[in-house]
Amino acid sequence: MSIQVRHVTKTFGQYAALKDVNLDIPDGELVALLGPSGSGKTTLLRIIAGLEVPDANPETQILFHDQDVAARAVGDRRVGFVFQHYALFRHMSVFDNIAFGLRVRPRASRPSKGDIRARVHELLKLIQLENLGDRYPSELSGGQRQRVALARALAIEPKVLLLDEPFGALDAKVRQGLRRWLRDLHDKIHITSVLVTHDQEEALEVADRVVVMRQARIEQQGTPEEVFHHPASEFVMDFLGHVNLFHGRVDAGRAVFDGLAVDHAAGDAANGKAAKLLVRPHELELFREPNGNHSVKATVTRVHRAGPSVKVELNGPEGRELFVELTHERFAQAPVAAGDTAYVSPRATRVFVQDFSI
Amino acid sequence: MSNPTPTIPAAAATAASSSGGAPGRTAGPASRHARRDPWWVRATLITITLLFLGLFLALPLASVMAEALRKGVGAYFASFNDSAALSAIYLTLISAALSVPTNLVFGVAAAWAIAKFEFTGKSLLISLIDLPFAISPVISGLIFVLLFGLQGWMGPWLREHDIKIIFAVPGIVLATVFVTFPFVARELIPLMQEQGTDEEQAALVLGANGWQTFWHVTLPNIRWALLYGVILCNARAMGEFGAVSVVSGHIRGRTNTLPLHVEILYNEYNFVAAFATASLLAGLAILTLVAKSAVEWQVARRRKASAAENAAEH
Repeated sequence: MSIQVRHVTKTFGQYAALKDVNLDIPDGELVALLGPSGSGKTTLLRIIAGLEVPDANPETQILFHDQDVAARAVGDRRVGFVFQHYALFRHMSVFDNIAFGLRVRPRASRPSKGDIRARVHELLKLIQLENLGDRYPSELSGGQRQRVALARALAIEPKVLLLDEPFGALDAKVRQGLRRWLRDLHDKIHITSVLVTHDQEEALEVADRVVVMRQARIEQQGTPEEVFHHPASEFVMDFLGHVNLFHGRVDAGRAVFDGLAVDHAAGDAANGKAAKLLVRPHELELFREPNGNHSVKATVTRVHRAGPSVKVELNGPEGRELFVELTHERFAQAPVAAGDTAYVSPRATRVFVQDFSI
Repeated sequence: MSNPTPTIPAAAATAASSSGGAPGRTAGPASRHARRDPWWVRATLITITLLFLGLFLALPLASVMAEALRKGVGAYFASFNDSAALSAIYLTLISAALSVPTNLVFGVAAAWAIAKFEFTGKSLLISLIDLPFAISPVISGLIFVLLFGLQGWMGPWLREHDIKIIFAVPGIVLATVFVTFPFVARELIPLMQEQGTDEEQAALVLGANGWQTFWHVTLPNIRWALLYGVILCNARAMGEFGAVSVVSGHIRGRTNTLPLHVEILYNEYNFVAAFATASLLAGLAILTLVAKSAVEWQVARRRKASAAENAAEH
């Protein structure tokens, strides 16, 4: 079932959590709402669920499969919601937790006891906790609890699945396993899902599409490849991973940054304007000799060789820190040590001229 | 127990020998010794406490029983075999039976509203709930006399319709309700605030209506604290003297509760009956304490379980 959000604004007192947000989520996709805390992503999710009411505005619409559900109560929207802190019913067993949504239905639409039991067992199997139906939430690990919360949300056969930082309270290793499991699950049941996260790795790895939010607005949306490789702004690029930042200005159609010049598409119109160059650590090359007007001189301060790649920290012009990530093979061709002088040169660059970036 | 001085080097040695690990944990028994007070401090404190408890709690209780049984078990039981005494017991039970459920409903409703919703005037409501604790019970009684007495605001209207509140059972129930209404609410508010609204929201998303959410999610989570509040509320409802004394009028056999009956008997120099009746109230108090301890123990167990659960999360 597709979800469309039209002209949604939400203010809490003086504070604007969402400013005229529009979003289309196609049927069957897993979309990640990604952003720093306070960017409005959780508020947007809660408005889709019906747990929060958007500010009154005749243009505001929340469409599920082209039907406006804005006026419908949260219980009538048939959404599955997974909370960050699980929100399991602490006095109920795992079985009763999962069965809850079916048991509270009005008598006419309530499945029989046998049907409920069958459905719960099916879900317990899905979350790989078949033998733990009699346990209480306090007897489960964090990862198990979150899987129970997911099964409970799926029990009512929701039309959309909404997950609010579902792995936020778990440690890194459990998180990774659960992330992959969620992706597999989504591939199996193809339910339209929205996942809120502030972890860019999680969003890029799990989602079909990533919606980057910033200060109550949507900054960019696209596939993980699009937002990672073609960030629309400095903010998106910075948020999606480590970046090296160079300050410079545009001159005769080229952007010049302390010692290196980069072609810039904006042409002469942008002449004289301040520009920023952003380069990811793995897109920088390291040389022992200067490389024409395409490199920056820097001093190596630290070399980390433990791990899948070699990470080199350098001290660049004006004392700015630079990070370079190289493969072990590449590093072996021109090894450096702390204290050496090296020349850093970008392979791929993204220039943001001041006016365009914000 | 030993003087703390020699234990300090021992603790230091233990910590030093395990410098690789966590010294605070491996220090074990030595550090526990170091944290203990010297024996004479503990002995003095325990003695003072026991003396105080004996003098001010155990002794009076014992004297009540002694006085009540002074003329034998027969006289003790005979003092209950009297229409005035029976009617006082009956009235006390009635007023508790009416005020406790009233305050149970009110307390749950108020705690629910305060803990789960944001609204203006919330702090005013919290202060209002505390009001009966803050003012003297005699004044609580006077408020009702001023409202419903013959010379009171509603007096003429009540007389016209032949409704008696002051110096009658309704007044006693009203005063008891007023004095005991903070117990349940105050017990529930902190617990419900701590529990937050996540579980209720989860229930609503799953399609439960408000009543189902309350009955299946909220109520089970607060049941022990609720029982605790009800026990305290009941104890106070049966034992209340001041407020009830003002509104009752002390009409023997009609508007006397147990505490008032004790006073009347005592003033009539009927000491055996007075102390026998008092022993009934004292027995009730002890019963309440036992029930309270049992519930407290349950609550602590639940808290510990939920704390362990929270610890496991992080």
